[in-house]
Amino acid sequence: MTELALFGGTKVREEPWPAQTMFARTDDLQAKLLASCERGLSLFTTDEVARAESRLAGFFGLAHAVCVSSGTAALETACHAVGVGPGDEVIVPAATYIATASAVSRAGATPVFADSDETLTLDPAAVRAAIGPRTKAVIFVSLFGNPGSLAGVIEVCREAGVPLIHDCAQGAASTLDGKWIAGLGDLVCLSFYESKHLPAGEGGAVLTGDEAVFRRAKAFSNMWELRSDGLPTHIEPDYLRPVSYPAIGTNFRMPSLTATLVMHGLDHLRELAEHCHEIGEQYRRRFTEWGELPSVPGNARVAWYAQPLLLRPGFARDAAWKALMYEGTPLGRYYYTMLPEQEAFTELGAQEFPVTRRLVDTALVLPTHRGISLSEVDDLEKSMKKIVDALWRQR
Amino acid sequence: MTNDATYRLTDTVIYRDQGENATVFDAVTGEIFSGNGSAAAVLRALQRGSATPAQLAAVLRDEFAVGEADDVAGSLEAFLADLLARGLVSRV
Repeated sequence: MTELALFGGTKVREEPWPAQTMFARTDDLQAKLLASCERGLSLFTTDEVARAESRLAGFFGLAHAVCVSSGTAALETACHAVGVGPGDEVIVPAATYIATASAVSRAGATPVFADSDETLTLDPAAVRAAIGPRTKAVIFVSLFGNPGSLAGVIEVCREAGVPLIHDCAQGAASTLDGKWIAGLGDLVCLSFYESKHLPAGEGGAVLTGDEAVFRRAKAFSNMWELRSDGLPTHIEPDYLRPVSYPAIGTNFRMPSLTATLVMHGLDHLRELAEHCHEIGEQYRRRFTEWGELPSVPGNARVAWYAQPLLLRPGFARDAAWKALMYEGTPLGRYYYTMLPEQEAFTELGAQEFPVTRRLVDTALVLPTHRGISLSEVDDLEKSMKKIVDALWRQR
Repeated sequence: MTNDATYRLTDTVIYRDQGENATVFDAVTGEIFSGNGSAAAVLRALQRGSATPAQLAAVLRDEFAVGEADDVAGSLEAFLADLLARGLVSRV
Protein backbone atom coordinates (compact mmCIF):
# COMPACT_ATOMS: atom_id res chain seq x y z
CA MET A 1 0.00 0.00 0.00
CA THR A 2 1.29 3.46 -0.90
CA GLU A 3 1.83 5.76 2.06
CA LEU A 4 -0.47 8.76 2.23
CA ALA A 5 1.09 12.11 1.39
CA LEU A 6 0.03 13.45 4.79
CA PHE A 7 2.40 10.86 6.33
CA GLY A 8 5.21 11.89 3.98
CA GLY A 9 4.36 9.57 1.08
CA THR A 10 4.43 10.58 -2.58
CA LYS A 11 1.56 12.86 -3.63
CA VAL A 12 -0.84 11.65 -6.29
CA ARG A 13 -0.44 14.98 -8.05
CA GLU A 14 2.57 17.29 -8.10
CA GLU A 15 1.19 19.60 -10.81
CA PRO A 16 -0.65 22.65 -9.40
CA TRP A 17 -4.38 22.16 -9.04
CA PRO A 18 -6.31 24.39 -11.49
CA ALA A 19 -7.86 27.56 -10.13
CA GLN A 20 -11.64 27.60 -10.02
CA THR A 21 -13.06 29.40 -13.02
CA MET A 22 -16.12 29.32 -15.24
CA PHE A 23 -14.85 32.26 -17.26
CA ALA A 24 -14.38 31.94 -21.04
CA ARG A 25 -11.02 33.50 -21.92
CA THR A 26 -11.53 34.22 -25.59
CA ASP A 27 -9.79 36.45 -28.11
CA ASP A 28 -12.80 38.68 -28.67
CA LEU A 29 -13.13 39.72 -25.03
CA GLN A 30 -10.87 42.76 -25.22
CA ALA A 31 -12.84 44.22 -28.13
CA LYS A 32 -16.12 43.59 -26.28
CA LEU A 33 -14.89 45.42 -23.20
CA LEU A 34 -13.57 48.38 -25.19
CA ALA A 35 -16.87 48.71 -27.02
CA SER A 36 -18.65 48.53 -23.70
CA CYS A 37 -16.55 51.38 -22.35
CA GLU A 38 -17.37 53.51 -25.37
CA ARG A 39 -21.09 52.77 -25.07
CA GLY A 40 -21.55 52.59 -21.36
CA LEU A 41 -19.16 54.83 -19.49
CA SER A 42 -20.90 58.11 -20.08
CA LEU A 43 -23.08 59.50 -17.35
CA PHE A 44 -26.77 58.59 -17.45
CA THR A 45 -26.27 56.01 -20.16
CA THR A 46 -27.63 52.63 -19.28
CA ASP A 47 -27.55 51.07 -22.71
CA GLU A 48 -25.19 48.25 -21.81
CA VAL A 49 -27.17 47.14 -18.75
CA ALA A 50 -30.43 47.44 -20.70
CA ARG A 51 -28.91 45.28 -23.45
CA ALA A 52 -27.90 42.66 -20.92
CA GLU A 53 -31.39 42.69 -19.40
CA SER A 54 -32.96 42.26 -22.80
CA ARG A 55 -30.60 39.41 -23.70
CA LEU A 56 -31.09 37.63 -20.37
CA ALA A 57 -34.87 37.81 -20.65
CA GLY A 58 -34.82 36.57 -24.23
CA PHE A 59 -32.25 33.85 -23.58
CA PHE A 60 -34.07 32.31 -20.63
CA GLY A 61 -37.56 32.90 -22.00
CA LEU A 62 -39.09 35.29 -19.48
CA ALA A 63 -40.50 38.69 -20.35
CA HIS A 64 -38.38 40.82 -18.03
CA ALA A 65 -34.97 40.97 -16.38
CA VAL A 66 -33.55 43.38 -13.83
CA CYS A 67 -29.77 43.40 -13.51
CA VAL A 68 -28.44 44.06 -10.02
CA SER A 69 -25.11 44.16 -8.22
CA SER A 70 -24.95 40.55 -6.91
CA GLY A 71 -26.87 37.29 -6.55
CA THR A 72 -27.55 38.25 -2.94
CA ALA A 73 -28.99 41.57 -4.13
CA ALA A 74 -31.15 39.65 -6.63
CA LEU A 75 -32.65 37.57 -3.81
CA GLU A 76 -33.33 40.61 -1.66
CA THR A 77 -34.83 42.45 -4.65
CA ALA A 78 -37.05 39.44 -5.42
CA CYS A 79 -38.34 39.39 -1.84
CA HIS A 80 -39.27 43.07 -2.03
CA ALA A 81 -40.76 42.61 -5.50
CA VAL A 82 -43.33 40.11 -4.17
CA GLY A 83 -44.03 42.27 -1.11
CA VAL A 84 -42.19 40.28 1.55
CA GLY A 85 -42.03 42.32 4.75
CA PRO A 86 -42.29 42.26 8.54
CA GLY A 87 -44.63 39.56 9.86
CA ASP A 88 -44.24 37.39 6.76
CA GLU A 89 -42.61 33.99 6.47
CA VAL A 90 -40.63 32.67 3.50
CA ILE A 91 -39.81 28.97 3.18
CA VAL A 92 -36.17 28.25 2.32
CA PRO A 93 -33.96 25.13 2.29
CA ALA A 94 -31.91 24.39 5.40
CA ALA A 95 -28.82 23.71 3.30
CA THR A 96 -27.72 26.40 0.91
CA TYR A 97 -25.65 29.57 0.87
CA ILE A 98 -26.71 31.98 3.60
CA ALA A 99 -27.86 34.65 1.10
CA THR A 100 -31.04 32.69 0.39
CA ALA A 101 -32.17 33.07 3.99
CA SER A 102 -30.48 36.37 4.86
CA ALA A 103 -32.36 38.07 2.00
CA VAL A 104 -35.59 37.12 3.76
CA SER A 105 -34.36 38.47 7.10
CA ARG A 106 -33.13 41.70 5.53
CA ALA A 107 -36.59 42.21 4.03
CA GLY A 108 -37.91 42.08 7.60
CA ALA A 109 -39.51 38.63 7.34
CA THR A 110 -38.73 35.27 8.95
CA PRO A 111 -37.06 32.43 7.05
CA VAL A 112 -38.77 29.08 7.68
CA PHE A 113 -36.35 26.26 7.03
CA ALA A 114 -37.41 23.03 5.35
CA ASP A 115 -35.63 19.77 4.57
CA SER A 116 -34.53 18.50 1.18
CA ASP A 117 -35.20 15.17 -0.50
CA GLU A 118 -32.87 12.74 -2.27
CA THR A 119 -32.23 15.36 -4.95
CA LEU A 120 -30.75 17.65 -2.24
CA THR A 121 -33.31 20.28 -3.23
CA LEU A 122 -36.42 21.35 -1.28
CA ASP A 123 -38.76 18.44 -0.61
CA PRO A 124 -42.25 19.29 -1.98
CA ALA A 125 -43.87 17.48 0.97
CA ALA A 126 -41.80 19.52 3.44
CA VAL A 127 -42.80 22.73 1.66
CA ARG A 128 -46.47 21.75 1.74
CA ALA A 129 -46.21 21.05 5.48
CA ALA A 130 -44.46 24.36 6.15
CA ILE A 131 -46.90 26.60 4.25
CA GLY A 132 -49.10 28.56 6.62
CA PRO A 133 -51.18 31.74 6.73
CA ARG A 134 -48.07 33.95 7.02
CA THR A 135 -46.22 32.33 4.10
CA LYS A 136 -45.47 35.05 1.57
CA ALA A 137 -43.15 33.12 -0.76
CA VAL A 138 -41.07 29.97 -1.20
CA ILE A 139 -37.44 30.16 -2.33
CA PHE A 140 -36.34 27.02 -4.17
CA VAL A 141 -32.60 26.55 -4.73
CA SER A 142 -31.34 24.47 -7.66
CA LEU A 143 -28.44 23.34 -5.51
CA PHE A 144 -25.28 22.38 -7.41
CA GLY A 145 -27.22 23.08 -10.63
CA ASN A 146 -29.75 20.28 -10.09
CA PRO A 147 -33.39 21.32 -10.63
CA GLY A 148 -34.25 18.31 -8.44
CA SER A 149 -37.80 18.67 -7.16
CA LEU A 150 -38.44 22.08 -8.73
CA ALA A 151 -41.49 20.84 -10.67
CA GLY A 152 -43.05 19.43 -7.50
CA VAL A 153 -42.44 22.60 -5.50
CA ILE A 154 -43.86 24.75 -8.33
CA GLU A 155 -47.01 22.61 -8.16
CA VAL A 156 -47.26 22.98 -4.36
CA CYS A 157 -46.85 26.77 -4.65
CA ARG A 158 -49.44 26.96 -7.41
CA GLU A 159 -51.96 25.03 -5.29
CA ALA A 160 -51.29 27.29 -2.29
CA GLY A 161 -51.26 30.52 -4.29
CA VAL A 162 -47.78 31.39 -3.03
CA PRO A 163 -45.16 32.85 -5.40
CA LEU A 164 -42.10 30.73 -6.08
CA ILE A 165 -38.74 32.49 -6.16
CA HIS A 166 -36.25 30.24 -7.93
CA ASP A 167 -32.73 30.78 -6.61
CA CYS A 168 -30.94 29.66 -9.75
CA ALA A 169 -27.53 31.02 -8.79
CA GLN A 170 -25.94 27.62 -9.48
CA GLY A 171 -28.29 26.46 -12.21
CA ALA A 172 -28.06 28.95 -15.08
CA ALA A 173 -26.70 26.31 -17.46
CA SER A 174 -29.04 23.40 -16.63
CA THR A 175 -32.10 22.40 -18.61
CA LEU A 176 -35.37 20.55 -18.01
CA ASP A 177 -37.14 19.11 -21.04
CA GLY A 178 -34.61 21.00 -23.14
CA LYS A 179 -35.51 24.39 -21.66
CA TRP A 180 -33.27 26.44 -19.40
CA ILE A 181 -34.33 26.00 -15.76
CA ALA A 182 -33.58 29.70 -15.31
CA GLY A 183 -36.89 30.29 -17.08
CA LEU A 184 -38.85 28.40 -14.39
CA GLY A 185 -40.44 30.12 -11.42
CA ASP A 186 -42.52 33.22 -10.75
CA LEU A 187 -39.23 34.99 -10.22
CA VAL A 188 -35.76 33.65 -11.00
CA CYS A 189 -32.62 34.92 -9.30
CA LEU A 190 -29.27 34.57 -11.05
CA SER A 191 -25.79 35.18 -9.71
CA PHE A 192 -22.85 36.39 -11.78
CA TYR A 193 -20.29 35.77 -9.05
CA GLU A 194 -16.96 34.57 -10.42
CA SER A 195 -17.58 30.89 -9.61
CA LYS A 196 -20.96 30.78 -11.38
CA HIS A 197 -21.89 29.75 -14.91
CA LEU A 198 -22.24 33.40 -16.02
CA PRO A 199 -19.18 34.83 -14.29
CA ALA A 200 -18.72 38.59 -14.15
CA GLY A 201 -16.84 38.93 -10.87
CA GLU A 202 -20.04 39.98 -9.12
CA GLY A 203 -23.56 40.74 -10.26
CA GLY A 204 -26.99 39.22 -10.39
CA ALA A 205 -30.39 39.45 -12.02
CA VAL A 206 -34.06 38.93 -11.29
CA LEU A 207 -36.11 37.46 -14.13
CA THR A 208 -39.89 37.38 -14.19
CA GLY A 209 -42.81 37.16 -16.54
CA ASP A 210 -44.94 39.44 -14.36
CA GLU A 211 -44.98 43.11 -15.37
CA ALA A 212 -45.96 44.41 -11.91
CA VAL A 213 -43.29 42.31 -10.16
CA PHE A 214 -40.75 43.54 -12.70
CA ARG A 215 -41.58 47.17 -11.99
CA ARG A 216 -41.28 46.66 -8.24
CA ALA A 217 -37.93 44.90 -8.68
CA LYS A 218 -36.65 47.63 -10.95
CA ALA A 219 -37.74 50.41 -8.59
CA PHE A 220 -36.51 48.75 -5.37
CA SER A 221 -33.05 48.08 -6.79
CA ASN A 222 -32.77 51.73 -7.87
CA MET A 223 -33.74 53.47 -4.59
CA TRP A 224 -37.49 52.95 -5.26
CA GLU A 225 -37.15 55.78 -7.76
CA LEU A 226 -40.31 56.42 -9.80
CA ARG A 227 -41.03 58.87 -12.59
CA SER A 228 -43.98 61.20 -12.35
CA ASP A 229 -46.02 58.74 -14.41
CA GLY A 230 -45.45 56.02 -11.78
CA LEU A 231 -42.96 53.96 -13.81
CA PRO A 232 -39.53 53.12 -12.44
CA THR A 233 -36.71 55.13 -13.94
CA HIS A 234 -34.23 53.24 -16.18
CA ILE A 235 -37.07 51.48 -17.97
CA GLU A 236 -37.13 54.25 -20.51
CA PRO A 237 -34.44 56.68 -19.37
CA ASP A 238 -35.85 60.17 -19.24
CA TYR A 239 -33.94 62.44 -16.95
CA LEU A 240 -36.03 65.50 -17.72
CA ARG A 241 -38.97 64.21 -15.68
CA PRO A 242 -39.19 64.73 -11.93
CA VAL A 243 -38.77 61.61 -9.79
CA SER A 244 -40.23 60.52 -6.48
CA TYR A 245 -39.34 57.96 -3.81
CA PRO A 246 -42.49 56.41 -2.30
CA ALA A 247 -40.59 53.81 -0.23
CA ILE A 248 -37.10 53.00 1.01
CA GLY A 249 -35.15 51.14 -1.62
CA THR A 250 -31.46 50.70 -2.15
CA ASN A 251 -28.78 51.01 -4.79
CA PHE A 252 -28.26 47.56 -6.30
CA ARG A 253 -27.45 48.92 -9.78
CA MET A 254 -25.12 46.94 -12.05
CA PRO A 255 -22.13 48.67 -13.70
CA SER A 256 -21.86 48.63 -17.49
CA LEU A 257 -18.71 46.53 -17.67
CA THR A 258 -20.36 43.84 -15.58
CA ALA A 259 -23.24 43.78 -18.06
CA THR A 260 -20.73 43.25 -20.87
CA LEU A 261 -19.20 40.29 -19.05
CA VAL A 262 -22.65 38.78 -18.46
CA MET A 263 -23.39 38.96 -22.19
CA HIS A 264 -20.00 37.41 -22.92
CA GLY A 265 -21.00 34.58 -20.59
CA LEU A 266 -24.27 34.09 -22.47
CA ASP A 267 -22.27 33.77 -25.71
CA HIS A 268 -20.46 30.78 -24.18
CA LEU A 269 -23.10 29.26 -21.89
CA ARG A 270 -24.06 26.30 -24.10
CA GLU A 271 -20.49 25.15 -24.45
CA LEU A 272 -19.91 25.57 -20.67
CA ALA A 273 -23.10 23.62 -19.97
CA GLU A 274 -21.71 20.66 -21.92
CA HIS A 275 -18.41 20.79 -20.05
CA CYS A 276 -20.00 20.92 -16.59
CA HIS A 277 -22.44 18.16 -17.50
CA GLU A 278 -19.72 15.85 -18.84
CA ILE A 279 -17.37 16.33 -15.87
CA GLY A 280 -20.27 15.80 -13.44
CA GLU A 281 -21.24 12.61 -15.26
CA GLN A 282 -17.66 11.33 -15.00
CA TYR A 283 -17.93 11.54 -11.21
CA ARG A 284 -21.37 9.91 -11.34
CA ARG A 285 -19.92 6.96 -13.28
CA ARG A 286 -16.68 6.56 -11.34
CA PHE A 287 -17.19 7.61 -7.70
CA THR A 288 -20.30 5.68 -6.60
CA GLU A 289 -18.11 3.07 -4.85
CA TRP A 290 -17.48 5.65 -2.12
CA GLY A 291 -20.78 7.41 -1.78
CA GLU A 292 -24.17 8.40 -3.04
CA LEU A 293 -25.03 11.14 -5.49
CA PRO A 294 -28.15 13.30 -5.57
CA SER A 295 -30.88 11.91 -7.77
CA VAL A 296 -31.74 13.88 -10.87
CA PRO A 297 -35.07 14.14 -12.74
CA GLY A 298 -35.07 12.01 -15.87
CA ASN A 299 -35.94 15.02 -18.03
CA ALA A 300 -33.07 17.15 -16.68
CA ARG A 301 -29.65 17.78 -18.14
CA VAL A 302 -27.66 19.14 -15.25
CA ALA A 303 -24.69 21.42 -15.89
CA TRP A 304 -23.19 20.62 -12.50
CA TYR A 305 -21.96 23.65 -10.59
CA ALA A 306 -20.15 21.00 -8.56
CA GLN A 307 -20.93 17.35 -7.89
CA PRO A 308 -21.68 16.44 -4.27
CA LEU A 309 -20.71 12.95 -3.13
CA LEU A 310 -22.32 11.83 0.13
CA LEU A 311 -19.73 9.46 1.59
CA ARG A 312 -20.90 6.05 2.77
CA PRO A 313 -21.06 5.29 6.50
CA GLY A 314 -17.60 4.38 7.77
CA PHE A 315 -15.84 6.95 5.64
CA ALA A 316 -15.17 10.26 7.36
CA ARG A 317 -15.61 13.36 5.21
CA ASP A 318 -13.37 15.74 7.17
CA ALA A 319 -10.46 13.30 7.20
CA ALA A 320 -10.92 12.54 3.50
CA TRP A 321 -10.99 16.26 2.72
CA LYS A 322 -7.73 16.84 4.57
CA ALA A 323 -6.03 13.81 3.01
CA LEU A 324 -7.15 14.88 -0.50
CA MET A 325 -5.51 18.24 0.07
CA TYR A 326 -2.19 16.61 0.98
CA GLU A 327 -2.39 14.41 -2.14
CA GLY A 328 -2.43 17.56 -4.31
CA THR A 329 -6.12 17.19 -5.18
CA PRO A 330 -7.84 19.76 -2.93
CA LEU A 331 -11.59 20.30 -2.77
CA GLY A 332 -13.59 23.33 -1.74
CA ARG A 333 -15.72 23.28 1.41
CA TYR A 334 -19.44 23.73 0.85
CA TYR A 335 -22.32 23.72 3.33
CA TYR A 336 -20.61 22.19 6.39
CA THR A 337 -23.27 23.73 8.68
CA MET A 338 -27.05 23.77 8.37
CA LEU A 339 -28.35 27.33 8.09
CA PRO A 340 -30.57 26.98 11.20
CA GLU A 341 -27.39 26.24 13.16
CA GLN A 342 -25.61 29.39 12.01
CA GLU A 343 -25.42 31.94 14.81
CA ALA A 344 -27.39 34.41 12.69
CA PHE A 345 -30.45 32.13 12.85
CA THR A 346 -30.20 30.38 16.21
CA GLU A 347 -32.91 32.66 17.65
CA LEU A 348 -35.34 30.74 15.41
CA GLY A 349 -34.78 27.69 17.63
CA ALA A 350 -33.14 24.28 17.23
CA GLN A 351 -34.43 22.26 14.31
CA GLU A 352 -33.45 18.96 12.74
CA PHE A 353 -33.54 18.02 9.06
CA PRO A 354 -32.28 14.47 8.35
CA VAL A 355 -31.41 14.84 4.65
CA THR A 356 -29.76 18.19 5.20
CA ARG A 357 -27.84 16.75 8.16
CA ARG A 358 -26.45 14.02 5.93
CA LEU A 359 -25.41 16.58 3.34
CA VAL A 360 -23.58 18.84 5.78
CA ASP A 361 -21.90 15.96 7.61
CA THR A 362 -20.83 13.67 4.76
CA ALA A 363 -20.59 15.51 1.44
CA LEU A 364 -17.39 15.95 -0.49
CA VAL A 365 -18.01 18.45 -3.26
CA LEU A 366 -16.21 17.60 -6.50
CA PRO A 367 -15.34 20.44 -8.91
CA THR A 368 -16.70 20.73 -12.45
CA HIS A 369 -15.47 24.18 -13.50
CA ARG A 370 -13.60 25.00 -16.71
CA GLY A 371 -10.23 24.19 -15.17
CA ILE A 372 -11.23 20.56 -14.58
CA SER A 373 -10.48 18.05 -17.32
CA LEU A 374 -10.42 14.25 -17.37
CA SER A 375 -6.86 14.44 -16.04
CA GLU A 376 -8.07 16.10 -12.82
CA VAL A 377 -10.95 13.61 -12.50
CA ASP A 378 -8.40 10.78 -12.89
CA ASP A 379 -6.21 12.25 -10.15
CA LEU A 380 -9.14 12.72 -7.79
CA GLU A 381 -10.17 9.11 -8.39
CA LYS A 382 -6.62 7.91 -7.63
CA SER A 383 -6.53 10.00 -4.46
CA MET A 384 -9.86 8.67 -3.27
CA LYS A 385 -8.81 5.05 -3.83
CA LYS A 386 -5.54 5.61 -2.01
CA ILE A 387 -7.16 7.39 0.94
CA VAL A 388 -10.01 4.93 1.40
CA ASP A 389 -7.58 1.97 1.27
CA ALA A 390 -5.21 3.58 3.75
CA LEU A 391 -7.66 4.96 6.26
CA TRP A 392 -10.72 2.78 6.27
CA ARG A 393 -10.11 -0.52 4.49
CA GLN A 394 -6.89 -1.89 5.95
CA ARG A 395 -6.73 -0.57 9.47
CA MET B 1 -4.40 19.76 33.33
CA THR B 2 -3.43 18.02 36.49
CA ASN B 3 -0.20 16.18 37.05
CA ASP B 4 -1.93 12.93 37.93
CA ALA B 5 -4.03 12.85 34.72
CA THR B 6 -3.16 10.11 32.25
CA TYR B 7 -3.14 10.70 28.49
CA ARG B 8 -3.27 8.45 25.45
CA LEU B 9 -3.65 8.83 21.70
CA THR B 10 -7.33 8.96 20.72
CA ASP B 11 -8.72 5.69 19.30
CA THR B 12 -9.32 7.15 15.84
CA VAL B 13 -5.78 8.52 15.55
CA ILE B 14 -3.28 6.96 13.15
CA TYR B 15 0.36 7.30 14.19
CA ARG B 16 3.38 7.31 11.90
CA ASP B 17 7.01 7.44 12.93
CA GLN B 18 9.04 9.05 10.16
CA GLY B 19 12.48 9.14 11.73
CA GLU B 20 12.96 12.67 13.00
CA ASN B 21 9.25 13.38 12.71
CA ALA B 22 6.21 11.79 14.23
CA THR B 23 2.73 12.43 12.83
CA VAL B 24 -0.70 11.81 14.29
CA PHE B 25 -3.80 12.04 12.09
CA ASP B 26 -7.38 11.60 13.21
CA ALA B 27 -9.07 9.39 10.61
CA VAL B 28 -12.47 10.88 11.48
CA THR B 29 -11.97 14.59 12.05
CA GLY B 30 -8.96 15.13 9.80
CA GLU B 31 -6.99 16.82 12.60
CA ILE B 32 -3.28 16.39 12.03
CA PHE B 33 -0.10 17.18 13.91
CA SER B 34 3.43 16.51 12.82
CA GLY B 35 6.45 17.41 14.90
CA ASN B 36 10.09 16.66 15.51
CA GLY B 37 12.35 16.89 18.56
CA SER B 38 10.53 16.94 21.88
CA ALA B 39 7.07 16.88 20.23
CA ALA B 40 7.97 13.66 18.39
CA ALA B 41 9.33 12.18 21.62
CA VAL B 42 6.03 12.84 23.42
CA LEU B 43 3.99 11.35 20.57
CA ARG B 44 6.27 8.26 20.49
CA ALA B 45 5.80 7.80 24.21
CA LEU B 46 2.03 8.08 23.89
CA GLN B 47 2.07 5.62 20.98
CA ARG B 48 3.71 3.08 23.31
CA GLY B 49 0.88 3.53 25.82
CA SER B 50 -0.87 5.92 28.14
CA ALA B 51 1.29 8.21 30.25
CA THR B 52 1.07 10.95 32.86
CA PRO B 53 2.66 14.39 32.34
CA ALA B 54 5.30 13.43 34.92
CA GLN B 55 6.21 10.31 32.94
CA LEU B 56 6.33 12.30 29.72
CA ALA B 57 8.51 14.96 31.35
CA ALA B 58 10.88 12.20 32.47
CA VAL B 59 11.09 10.95 28.87
CA LEU B 60 12.04 14.43 27.71
CA ARG B 61 14.66 14.88 30.44
CA ASP B 62 16.23 11.53 29.54
CA GLU B 63 16.14 12.04 25.81
CA PHE B 64 17.22 15.64 25.65
CA ALA B 65 19.36 15.87 28.79
CA VAL B 66 17.48 18.87 30.12
CA GLY B 67 17.79 19.72 33.77
CA GLU B 68 15.14 20.12 36.44
CA ALA B 69 15.52 23.90 36.17
CA ASP B 70 14.26 23.91 32.59
CA ASP B 71 10.54 24.48 32.23
CA VAL B 72 9.75 21.06 30.78
CA ALA B 73 6.47 20.80 32.69
CA GLY B 74 5.17 24.16 31.42
CA SER B 75 5.94 23.43 27.76
CA LEU B 76 4.50 19.94 28.08
CA GLU B 77 1.32 21.25 29.66
CA ALA B 78 0.74 23.63 26.73
CA PHE B 79 1.50 20.92 24.18
CA LEU B 80 -0.86 18.38 25.76
CA ALA B 81 -3.59 21.00 26.10
CA ASP B 82 -3.31 21.73 22.37
CA LEU B 83 -3.46 18.03 21.42
CA LEU B 84 -6.39 17.55 23.80
CA ALA B 85 -8.30 20.50 22.31
CA ARG B 86 -7.79 19.08 18.84
CA GLY B 87 -8.98 15.64 19.91
CA LEU B 88 -5.69 13.94 19.07
CA VAL B 89 -5.14 12.78 22.66
CA SER B 90 -7.70 11.82 25.28
CA ARG B 91 -7.63 11.58 29.04
CA VAL B 92 -7.82 7.98 30.22
